[in-house]
Amino acid sequence: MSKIYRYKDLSFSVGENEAVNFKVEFISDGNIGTTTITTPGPLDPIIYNTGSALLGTGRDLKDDSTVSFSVISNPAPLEDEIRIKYYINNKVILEHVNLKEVASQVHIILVIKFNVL
Amino acid sequence: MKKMFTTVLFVGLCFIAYPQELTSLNAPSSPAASIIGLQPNAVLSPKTYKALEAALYSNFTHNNSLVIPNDFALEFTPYWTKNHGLSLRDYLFPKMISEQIKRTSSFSVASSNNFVLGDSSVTSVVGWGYRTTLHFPCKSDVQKVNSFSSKLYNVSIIIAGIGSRANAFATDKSIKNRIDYKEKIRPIVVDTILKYLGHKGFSKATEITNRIFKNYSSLPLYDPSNPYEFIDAFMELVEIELSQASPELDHAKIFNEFEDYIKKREGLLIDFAYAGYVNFPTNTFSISTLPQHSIWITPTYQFKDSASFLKVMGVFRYQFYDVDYYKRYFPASKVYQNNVDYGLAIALEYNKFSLQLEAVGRRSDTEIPSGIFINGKELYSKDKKSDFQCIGTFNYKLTDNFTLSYSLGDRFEPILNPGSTLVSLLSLNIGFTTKQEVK
Repeated sequence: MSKIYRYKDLSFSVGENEAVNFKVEFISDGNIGTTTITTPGPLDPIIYNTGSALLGTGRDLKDDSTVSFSVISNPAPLEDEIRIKYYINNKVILEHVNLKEVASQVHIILVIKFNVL
Repeated sequence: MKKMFTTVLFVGLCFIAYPQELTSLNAPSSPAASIIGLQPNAVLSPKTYKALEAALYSNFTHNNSLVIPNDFALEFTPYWTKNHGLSLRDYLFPKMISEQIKRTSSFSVASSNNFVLGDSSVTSVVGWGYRTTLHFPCKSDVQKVNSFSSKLYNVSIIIAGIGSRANAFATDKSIKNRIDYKEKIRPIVVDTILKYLGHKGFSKATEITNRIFKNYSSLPLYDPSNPYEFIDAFMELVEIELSQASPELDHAKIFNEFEDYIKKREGLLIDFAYAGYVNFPTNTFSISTLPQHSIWITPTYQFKDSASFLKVMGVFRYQFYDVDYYKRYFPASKVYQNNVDYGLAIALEYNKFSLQLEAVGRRSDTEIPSGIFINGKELYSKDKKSDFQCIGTFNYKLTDNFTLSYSLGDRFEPILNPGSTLVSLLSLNIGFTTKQEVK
């Protein structure tokens, strides 16, 4: 079974009409995976490997938490860690890192509360 | 982790020593340790330049003086000292040969204070080496990597799709217990699986969903103040039931098979290696010599699909010996200046059985001054020797650490007992491991 890493006390402040962009960046080499984001608004995007997606505006996201769920595997023999950075509007909100000797298949869950200014 | 097999028991029928196996002529994983004949207890593999500096400084200095450490082996691959954010595809298929060389170039250093000369005096040696590997994938290798990748994507879409919604429900105040949760999550599960299977897969999606919820009552109770324990158990159940519903949905199995395949990819693999060493015959830094240099080129072809049990391996090894050094410090040994080993092996592996057939040729020569030509130029003659061996080895793996082997063939003529070249050897091999220390 995959090892679960959950980060549930994340928050980010945005303007009510400000567009919110979510980005996943694979830092270590040889990762493969999918990230699905569930928002309180109408958009629930999927990101394959490294990529970004629009989550909506601050107004769409303020009512409830947004959950990002990444299913990541790393079968690269010369890589010894899984390292992934998550960004909102180009600001790093989390850098996840785990050694592959602990787990080479992981679920990374981010629970983000958007504070609307 | 490298496994090496050491023979502890043999029943020889009519010979006195082992044949030189083709596999022992392969490019070694640590050329520096190999050339000085060191089998270190641990190999240091620093992952950063700082760790490399620390490893070299702490081992090669003592009280601010230069020393040669005993039983020391280090391997360093500069490319992997930092992350490059390569996707798995870029990682497996570098576009340029120069990029492959850059990624696989590794440098090794090894040293020992127990290098025994011909007169039994114990001296110090330092070896150094370089190694790189080129892989030329075949069409089916590309297809297999694509197939494994798309299978992993497909399952990860389902798990991530269900997982993100399953976790989002943690803040849903209307969910008080497992029944409330089931009502919310069940349609999500069906929809997510259906998206993967397409509309024609409605009955299959329902069947998989039913499987998941058949064991739903075995989950812990839903605690609204701490819902994540329940959600994690639910996601584990989802993964288990998906894996049992179809091998195409078994994320762990697909990953393990993919990982195994990457370690043994189809196609042509060529290893290049170089090593040399310096000996301090008087154990002082004032006198040193470079007795030997070796170059290895070993191509290997791993066949595909139904012939994947078959591997063809070639070897070319050139060794240069400083004849004057060997005459002085190993007077009993006959050493040639230039030595070339070349050969071919075919290995068949099926379950616990393996068979290796190999043929190796050896040519050695030394230029000897034989006079002065009329125009004053020196004349040389060549002392040459060539030899050939062919060996068949049958192995049966008794357990992970025990292998029974039988070899039959004609080996190189040994220095001692030169008439004895027949090989007939039954042996039991026990596996030991060399520790890889990461700094």
